[in-house]
Formats: sequence, C-alpha cells, structure tokens
Amino acid sequence: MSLFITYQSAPSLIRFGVDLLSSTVWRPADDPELEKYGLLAPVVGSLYVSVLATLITFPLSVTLTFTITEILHKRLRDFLRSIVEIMGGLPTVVYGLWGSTVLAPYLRDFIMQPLYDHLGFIPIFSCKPVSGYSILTASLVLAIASTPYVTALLIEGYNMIPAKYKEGIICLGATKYETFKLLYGLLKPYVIASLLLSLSRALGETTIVALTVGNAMKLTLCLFDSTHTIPSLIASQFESARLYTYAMPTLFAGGLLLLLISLGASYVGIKKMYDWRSKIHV
Amino acid sequence: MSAYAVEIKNLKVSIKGVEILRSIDMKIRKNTISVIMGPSGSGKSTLLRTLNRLTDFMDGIRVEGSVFVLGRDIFTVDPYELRRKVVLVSQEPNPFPHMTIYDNVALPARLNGIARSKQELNEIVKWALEKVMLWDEVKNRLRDYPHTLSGGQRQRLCLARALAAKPEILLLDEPTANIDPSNTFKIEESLRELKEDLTIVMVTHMPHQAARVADHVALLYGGVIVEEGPAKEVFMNPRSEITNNFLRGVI
Amino acid sequence: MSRRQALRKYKSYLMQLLMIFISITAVTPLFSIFYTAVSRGGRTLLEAGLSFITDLPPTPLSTRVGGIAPALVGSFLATLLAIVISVPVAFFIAFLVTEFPNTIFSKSSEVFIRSFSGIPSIIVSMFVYSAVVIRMGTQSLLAGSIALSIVTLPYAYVYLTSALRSVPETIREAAMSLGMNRLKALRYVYVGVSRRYILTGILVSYVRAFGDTAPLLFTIGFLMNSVFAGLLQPSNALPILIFVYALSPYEIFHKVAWGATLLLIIIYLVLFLVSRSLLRGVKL
Repeated sequence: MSLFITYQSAPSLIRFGVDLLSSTVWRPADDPELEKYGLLAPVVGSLYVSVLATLITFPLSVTLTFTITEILHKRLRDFLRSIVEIMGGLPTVVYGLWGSTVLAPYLRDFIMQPLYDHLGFIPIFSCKPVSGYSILTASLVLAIASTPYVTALLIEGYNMIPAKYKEGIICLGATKYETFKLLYGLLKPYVIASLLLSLSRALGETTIVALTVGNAMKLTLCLFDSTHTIPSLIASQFESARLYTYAMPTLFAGGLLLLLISLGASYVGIKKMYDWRSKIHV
Repeated sequence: MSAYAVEIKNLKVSIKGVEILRSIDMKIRKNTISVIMGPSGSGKSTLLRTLNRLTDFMDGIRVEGSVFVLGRDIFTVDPYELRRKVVLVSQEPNPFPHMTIYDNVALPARLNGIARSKQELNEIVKWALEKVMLWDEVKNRLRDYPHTLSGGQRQRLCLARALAAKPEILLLDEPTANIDPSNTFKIEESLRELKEDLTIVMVTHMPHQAARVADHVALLYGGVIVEEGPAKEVFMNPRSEITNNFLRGVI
Repeated sequence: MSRRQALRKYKSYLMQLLMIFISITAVTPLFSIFYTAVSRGGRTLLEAGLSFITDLPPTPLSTRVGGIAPALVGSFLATLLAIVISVPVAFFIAFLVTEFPNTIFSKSSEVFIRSFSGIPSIIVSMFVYSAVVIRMGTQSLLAGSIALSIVTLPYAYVYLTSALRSVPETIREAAMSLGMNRLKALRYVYVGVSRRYILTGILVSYVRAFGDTAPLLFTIGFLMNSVFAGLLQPSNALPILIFVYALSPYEIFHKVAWGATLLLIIIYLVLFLVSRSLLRGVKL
C-alpha cells in the first residue's frame, strides 16, 4: 500500500522511540534538551472530535438521502441535490473561517453558556465556555462539511437496492415512512461503511479543525473546552518545530498514528461496502 | 356492495406515448380465480399493476378510464389504503434478505395491526405458511434467513407474506414463472383453497396453468381483451382465432 | 378508514415533514456562509476596489486593506502545475488499466492509487516537506505543486478511468477492426468520444486542488512582499492566506480573509457551474 509514505515518516519515529513511552503523558514542553512530549491529548482529541462529528453526520445524511430520493418531486429534488453537491465541494477553509467567526460565538452565547449554567453538573458540560473554540464547535462544523460526502455515498447505495424490494414493501400497503424504515434496514451495513469512510476523512481534516478547536494542549472530555487534534497540532506547531531536535519527529509520529487509524477505518469501510454490494443482489 | 370485486371500464394506459392497453373492459367476481393470460409483452403486468395503483410510480404513464375495486373508484381513494386491501405478489421472489423468515411473514401483520398480541402474530404466521404448504418445511427454522431457502420456497414465502396482510384481493404476477414443477404444483393447490377467503387475479403466459387453476379467463393480446369467459368454455370452444393460436403455443 | 390506519397515515406525513425540516437544517449553513461572505467580504472588496486583486497584503497595523495578488497568482499557478503533473500520469495509468485490466500492474495500480485517496492531506504535506523542501532549502511554488499533485492524482485517476470506461464497446471494436493499435485508437477515437467527460474530470480536479489547504501548508511558503518570485521560490495561495489570516488576531487580516473568501467562493462557483454544464452535454 502506501508504505512508501510510511517509510518517510518511520525514521522520525525510530529516532524518537522514547516518545512511544511518554505518549501517556500529555505535557508537551519544548525546552531544547529537556524536551518532553506526549501525544495523548491530540490523540484523544482527534478521536473525540471525529467520532462526534460522524455521529452528528449520521442522522443528517440519512435524512437527506431519503428526502432527496423519495420525498421530493423533480424540481425540488434536483435543487436540494445541487445544494448538497455545492456544499460537498466547498473548500474546507471556508467552512473553517465561518465556523470560527460566525458559529463559534453563536454557539458560545446561545448554546454552551446556557448549558453550562443550567446543566453544568453533567461532566461533558462542566467547563466554562470561554472563546467558543471547542470540541463541540469543531465537531459541528466538521459534521456539516462531511454530510454531503456521506449523503452522496448513501444515494449511490440506495440506487443499488434492487427495485423488487421497493416494490415488495409498497405492495404490502406500507406508508412512505414505513418504506423508509425497511429501506434503511436493507441499507444498514452500507450506512455503517459510509460512516467509517467519513470518520477516516474526518480524522485527517486539518483546516476546519485548526480554526475551530482552540489549539490548546489540554486533555479534556468537556464539550466546551479547547483541545488539539493531531492535524491541528501539526498545523500549529510545524513551523516552530524545526527549531528543536525532537519536536519534528514527534509530529511525524503523530502523523503516522493518524495515518494508521485513518487507513484502518477506511479499509474496514471499503470492505464492508463490497460485502454489502454482493449480498444485496442475492 | 357490488357483487364484483373488480370492475374495469374503458381502461386505457400508455407509457411515454406508447399505448399499452387500448380499451379494457372487465368484470371480476368475488371469490374466484381470474386469470389474465397472453403472450409476453401484451400488457398483462401493466393491467395487474393498475389494479393496485403501482402504476403511480411509473414514469410517463397516462391512465384513462374507470377502475372500481370493491365498489370504490381506485383513483379517488387513498392509494396506501388500496394497497392494503389489494396485495400484489411480484414475479421475482423478493423476501427481505435482512429479516428472518418469521419476520418476513409477520411484517404486514405487524404493520397493519392485525395481530394484537405475540400469540396472535404467531398464529397468523403459522396460518399463512400452512396455506402455502411451507410450514412443515420451515417450522424449525423460522429464525433463519430467506437466502437459506430455494427459489421456489422463497416465492411461497412471498405468497405467505402477502396472505398475512389479510388482503381482500390477491394479485399474482406470473407466480410460478421461475419455479420448478413441484413448487408450482404446491402453489396452484394453495390458490384453489385460498379463493374461499379472497379474490385472486393472476397473470400468466402459460395457457396450461390457466387451464389448471382458473374459474374465469381473459386473453390479453395487443392491448385488448380478445376473448374472455368461464375457463371451461374458453378452453373447449375458443371463439377467436387468436385464442386458438395462443392455446396451441403459436403466439 | 379505521383509526389505526389513519394514525399510520398521519404518522407518515409527520415524519416526512420532520425529515424535510431536518434536511433544510442540514443545508442552512451554506446560506449562512454565503451571506456572511457577501456581507463581510463584500465590504472588504468595496473598500479595496479592484486593487484587491493587484495589491500586496497589508501589514498587521496598516489601515489600508491592500490586496491578495500573491495568493491569487500562486493559487492559479500552483493548481495549474499540479494538474499538469498529475493528469498525464493519471491518464497514462488509467489508459493502461482500462486497456489491460487483468495484469498484475493494473490490479495493483487500482489498489495503490485508491489507497492514496485515503491519506490525510496534511501527511502529504509533511512528506513533501521532508522530501522536497528540506532538500531544496526553501519552500517553493514547485513544492506546493508537487504536494497538490499527489493529492489530486487519485481523483483525476478515478474520473479518467470512468471516462475511458464509458467508451462503448462497439466503438472499441470498430477502432480495433480498422487496424489501429491501442495507442492510435486512444488518440484518434477514445479521447474524442469521451472528451467532455475527460474535460469535466480535469476541471473538477482543478477545482478540488484550488480549494485544498493542507497540502500547501508547509510547502508553498507565505510570500507577502511580491506577487511572484519564481518557481523555486516561496509563493502563496488563496486558501493558505485565508487560513493564516483567520488564525491571526488582527482585525485587518480578518477583513482581508473574508474578502479573499468571497473571491474564493466566486471562483469555486464559476468553475462548478462550468463543469456542471459540460457534464450535461455528455452523452453516454
């Protein structure tokens, strides 16, 4: 596979093998000789943000899929489809800028602050929202940007369902909504596969995250808190990392980990898709 | 209440400008097996699908004329309501692959709320599977999935599923076209029993099958009904040359 | 209609309404984005006038908005170069894979290239940094283009294979029976038949590359004091500029970022519409 690229990163990893041990620590301090890095925060951050974003994408994309394929009539359907297509190709930096300038303040004032005030005893709401740059904001914008991709995949999957099953459920007198439930049942493995692919993409997403997650080296599970993901760490520290001995290799190590998880997720997703494709045509 | 289950007057159907059915007049009595036969492409499937308004989903379709089912104009009633009473079984077996055999049959009963308890549901499933003579073959593996069944068993499963909906009219589109003789025999047996409970309208391109099961038969050729009448009469003394040719396998 | 059936019916209507509502919510952000871009970016563009396209970026404390010329030039050139590098390679491989589908080369190419698209683009950036930038001693337009081309390659490949596969079998047979060898057939027949599809593929690849930030992050540099310094010198790009300025605390930079964003959106929409209308003319 792309061991080619892995090979480039690997020397950096070997050079800094110690890092693997200190990965459980999350105190990165880049003093020259006393350098100590731990990637726990960005790793947890990456997973947290990406998984949350994918979970948000799930209902949005499934709903969009059925709305586009079944509910709307030609004109509206094409219109909605075009909008989704435009959203799908829109440069991520635009999403990021919008997320940081428009959505973050709005979320902070109207969603995070009230939740913190009233429901602050729940752990994921228990930190005071300061800037609006947080796990929640990043996940939300990431979800909005990922939904078109998953929707496109799901529509493709929908079109692969043999027409006889659609006919079958209609002929039994099912309502439109009941038809959706059945079609969703048929699509379920494919939906999961698509979400895995979306997860893979979300993990590698840099621009949106770097602009909305707060870029704080902090291990936290609170939704309103700033943290780092591996790409955002790389994006913000790369320039200055050149000046130190072990900073760069650490970043490469993070990148390697990211690559492995990302490729793993997409591999499972693609395999699931192939399996589903052969089963559905029985 | 009308004595007829289905009354069709001057039905014309065209798809994208091409005339499929030119002018159909037909009356189907309740609790009978009516067979619409004809060569491939004569519009039999379209006629059948008009009866449960599956035609609503066809691109570019134009339907004129009147169709009354169970005394009501099908174009004024709620189509979903219609399809609950008039259930169609497709030519290609289509059991839902992600549901167990039990769940497949139980589905319409669950949706329609016919069963009010688990017990009642079990009974309906058993009844439906017995009617299609599938019960003995699957009673020990109701939790299995349809792909473990043979083609003929799958088609019978679809038939059982349709029965579990307790329809008043059963529409069958070439129900044994892809089925081996023994399964065909079983299905035909089931149909004869079933007409006590409901009205059956069946489409086939095999004249011998029509001869075996039909009470009433109509030959559809070139978009019109060329001949119709009680099965015995049509088969013994066909009035039209076309009927003759069809029965002899020429067309 | 019994009460239960009526309930089913209304439940279905209700759910459909809910689904439409959720769908609208899912696409509303786009309108918010456009609105903000037009209002904030528009303000910037009006303030700066045409010089936005020709001037250099402002300093943090300046009052004039300045312009984004280096970024515009850099974007267009880098993307162009990336396409020039990746499309021929993608095309060549696509041709071989569609003509000789059963060789080891073809099968492994498919897998190899498709896995390329699973690589996070920031990793590509890191890779090109260590392979090219370090060796050259400086960030450069060239390095950025190389990074972009690596990211663009899988997409171009997928499009081009679709385009070539869309050539009907009958035409292939006709070409072969006229005695053309595969290469000639490609040049004279296949490309002609699928040219709209191919053009659309190239255009779509260009659009993707134009908006991509991460590959350029460590590779292209951040040229501010001249419009163009040479292929082997640092340059700039529109998404990069927006990204860096968005992260900065200065008000003036935010203004420029929104102005640049509006331009980026306009360019994106224009290219999008062009590729759409090209695709509509494709008869397969």
